[in-house]
Amino acid sequence: MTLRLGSRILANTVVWGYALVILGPTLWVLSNAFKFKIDIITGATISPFTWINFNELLFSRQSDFLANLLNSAVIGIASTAIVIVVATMAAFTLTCLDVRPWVRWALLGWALLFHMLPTLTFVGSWYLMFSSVGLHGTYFAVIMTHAVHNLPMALFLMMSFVGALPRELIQAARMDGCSYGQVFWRIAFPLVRGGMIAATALTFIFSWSDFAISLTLTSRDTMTVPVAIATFAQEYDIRYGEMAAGTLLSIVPALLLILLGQNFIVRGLLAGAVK
Amino acid sequence: MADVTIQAFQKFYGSVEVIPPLDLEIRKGEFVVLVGPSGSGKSTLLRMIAGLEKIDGGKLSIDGEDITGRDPGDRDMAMVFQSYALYPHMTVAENMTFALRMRGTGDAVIRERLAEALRMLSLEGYENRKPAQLSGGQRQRVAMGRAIVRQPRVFLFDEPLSNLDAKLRARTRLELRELHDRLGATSIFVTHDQIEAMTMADRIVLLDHGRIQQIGSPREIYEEPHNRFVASFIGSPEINLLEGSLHVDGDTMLFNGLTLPGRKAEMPTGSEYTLGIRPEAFDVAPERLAGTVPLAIRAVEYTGSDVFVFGTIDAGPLTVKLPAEGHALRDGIGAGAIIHVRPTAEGWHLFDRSGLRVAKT
Amino acid sequence: MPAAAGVTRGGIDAMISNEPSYKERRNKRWIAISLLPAVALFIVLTAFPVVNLLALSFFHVEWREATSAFSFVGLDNYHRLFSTEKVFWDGVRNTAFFAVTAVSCQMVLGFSMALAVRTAGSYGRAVLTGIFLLPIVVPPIVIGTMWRLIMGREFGLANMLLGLLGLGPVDWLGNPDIALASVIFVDIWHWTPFVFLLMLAGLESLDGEVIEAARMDTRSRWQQIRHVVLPMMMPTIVVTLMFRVILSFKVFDEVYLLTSGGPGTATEVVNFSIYRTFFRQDQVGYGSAMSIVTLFAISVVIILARGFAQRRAARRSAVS
Repeated sequence: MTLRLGSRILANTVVWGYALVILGPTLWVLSNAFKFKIDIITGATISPFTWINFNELLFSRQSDFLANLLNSAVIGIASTAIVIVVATMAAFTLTCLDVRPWVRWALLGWALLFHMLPTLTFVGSWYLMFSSVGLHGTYFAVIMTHAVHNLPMALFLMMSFVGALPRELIQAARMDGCSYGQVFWRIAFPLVRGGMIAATALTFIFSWSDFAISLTLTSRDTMTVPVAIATFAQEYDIRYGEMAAGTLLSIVPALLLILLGQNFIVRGLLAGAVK
Repeated sequence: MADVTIQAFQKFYGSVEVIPPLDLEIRKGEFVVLVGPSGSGKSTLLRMIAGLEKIDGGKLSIDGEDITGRDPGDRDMAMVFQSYALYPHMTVAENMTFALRMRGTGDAVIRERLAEALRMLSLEGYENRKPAQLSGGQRQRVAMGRAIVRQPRVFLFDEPLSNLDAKLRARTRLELRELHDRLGATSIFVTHDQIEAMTMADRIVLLDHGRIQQIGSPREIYEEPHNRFVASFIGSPEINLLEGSLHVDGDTMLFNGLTLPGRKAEMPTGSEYTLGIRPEAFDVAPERLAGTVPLAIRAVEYTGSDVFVFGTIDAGPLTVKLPAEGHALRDGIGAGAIIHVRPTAEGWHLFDRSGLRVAKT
Repeated sequence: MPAAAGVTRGGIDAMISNEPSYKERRNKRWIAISLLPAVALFIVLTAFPVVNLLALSFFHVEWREATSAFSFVGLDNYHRLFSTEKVFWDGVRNTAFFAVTAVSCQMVLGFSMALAVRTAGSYGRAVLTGIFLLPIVVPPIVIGTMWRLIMGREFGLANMLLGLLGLGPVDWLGNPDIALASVIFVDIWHWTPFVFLLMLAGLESLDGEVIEAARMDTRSRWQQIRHVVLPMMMPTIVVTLMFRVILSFKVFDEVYLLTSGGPGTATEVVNFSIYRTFFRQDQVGYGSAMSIVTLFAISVVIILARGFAQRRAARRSAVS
């Protein structure tokens, strides 16, 4: 019996130890957001609390961070909206309806393949494509590329949610005379709303977090948060304080998501992995 | 094979006591069945014996040896699970010899025991199949083979027949019991099916909410139930239970209009008795006879060998069994007809307010 | 197409006979509407770019007077890639080493922790899960900046702590011998929680009674794990492994921030090579060739891996 308790304590020590390894560095970095630069540099743990970094970051002339936040939000919302609509409809059709096997196979196979290929290889071509039609640096370019980038994961996720609906429900609707479209709007769509929320949250997070695409396809006006943060780090005189402040602000969506719906995330990641 | 002694077993889930202190003795070579409704604690009890559930209070001994704290793998017991729990990645042969291999048993011994078990269970030729390639009945036999090969001191069965279809279940019941006899084993068998309990057990342990209601041979349990619960749990269709009052008048006992023949003890007149009569404990006649009451038939069930009549008498609803052969009443009775019934001398029981049976003699 | 109107195909329509053809057309329209956007997105933004890259890889592209000048060079770019190019192949080697090392550490660590939690139970499971999810939903670039700050030579947390212990500062990111290890460390920090969560889910989906049977058949925990738990977890492990390996080939953000591929080529990874070639060196044709080669190689790996996994799954369930 004591052996049981002992191994339980050991297991918990290991696991919570790792949790500390995760939290520790994170909290240290975030704490820098509230310190004066001199305190950061000298490594003072207890130091006067200040908002100066946030002020500099958000409101000073030299920083566009507010605009960056707006850009990330706009791009995130728009691309997520597109992805969710497209993915849900396609997921429904592929899962519940009579579709030629090769169509399903081709679409899902390509989605999976694309999902696993390095994004950078596509970014180069996208850059050229959008530049040649003068769309480089526009919201449109980034929104569309974000959409296609996140589509596979959203598709697989929605397929798992739609697949969880009882088949009889769909069949009953068909017997009652519904066309495919009606089955979707009246039956499937209302019932997978929970799943759609999960997919929306996850897709938004990934759009918000994207760096490779934003780095290359945005201009100064449309720069997103991740790119902005990277810019801070590239300068000779590293603006530690602002960097930390920016980091904290950029984590907010992720934190919200964790607080509000852990299950969704795990399910989403599982869907992406297990597929 | 061994004796199993359980003393003051106790089990808590959190602060809820699911098994109050319980004692049980199982003799060498016995086939004991733990039976009861869902949630009665029978599976929990079995798992405590196996070591899969912690024993919160009490002691477990085998042949006098205290094994209360031991690991499940060190108790020399083998278990057959309800879902068979076969290792999906191993073949039949590997499944059956796994425990022996883990103990470092010699190859020759392993091979011999495996061959013997395969023969006993008619599984020869299936050694290299995986569980996914077997039928339900075959998987069940592999699960049994896994236990047999170990030659343990005690066999534990956790509702192993529940997942089989009715016909297969009946056949496997017989085979299982024969196997037990042939091996001279000590077996503890858990089931919720009272027919399995009645047909297989040397002794039955009937449980309800963690408490033992009665221990006895099938006959004892059936003919001399300790209380209402035992009487109604065993027997199909269920025993008739009628609430009412007893009126003793000299030598005659009347219960809600029914005359109860047979020896009687000092049973005080009063209300709040329950009368229990099994469906077969009635005399039936087409017309009124001495001591009968009329039964208005609601429905009739014909099973081929028996006829069950469902109806009502003054005292309440009643189920009566008519033997199918040679009964004048068999043809021509149906819903709406009236027949006349009276209890036989040996077939009735009285239960008092708390459910305990009042002795007849 | 069946000729007679009202005769339907298979699928769920099989139950319903005599459907008016108007409905059929409506249905076909729905299928088109629901699938076309996805198909269009994929074709325009994924299939077409590949073709584009392929075409470009045969050219040398120059920007002259704000327009691009294409000169056909045939297989020159490929030739250069496979003969004189050094940095890219250093990157391939690094990426492979990175993938293997980082992923195996994550798998072992994640699996062990999941096993420990599963068998022994844990306190505060919800909070734990929340914390473990942090590295996954935080933007990778942010993880890069975080660890840049921590591993910074001058003011980083790591060296500060070392200083407290009286040890000298280590140039985590500037020392060519250590830099790759540092990057691998960050990746392990980043993804072990993910592996842990997947493994835990896998362990919890195992048939409880089979595990109990193992408890009764074996003499030690180790026997249980080695002979029963591990084999039964194989499908989950393989899937997680494949997923992580392929994902580790996509690493870019952290490397960009931590070391930008340096010092020298110590932390050069494939993605960074392509990025630099395309955007810093403006060698579009050459970069396209690199991209094509990379895409091709990884696609082959993916397809082989899927085929392997599927054949394995088929063999397992054999004849049921």
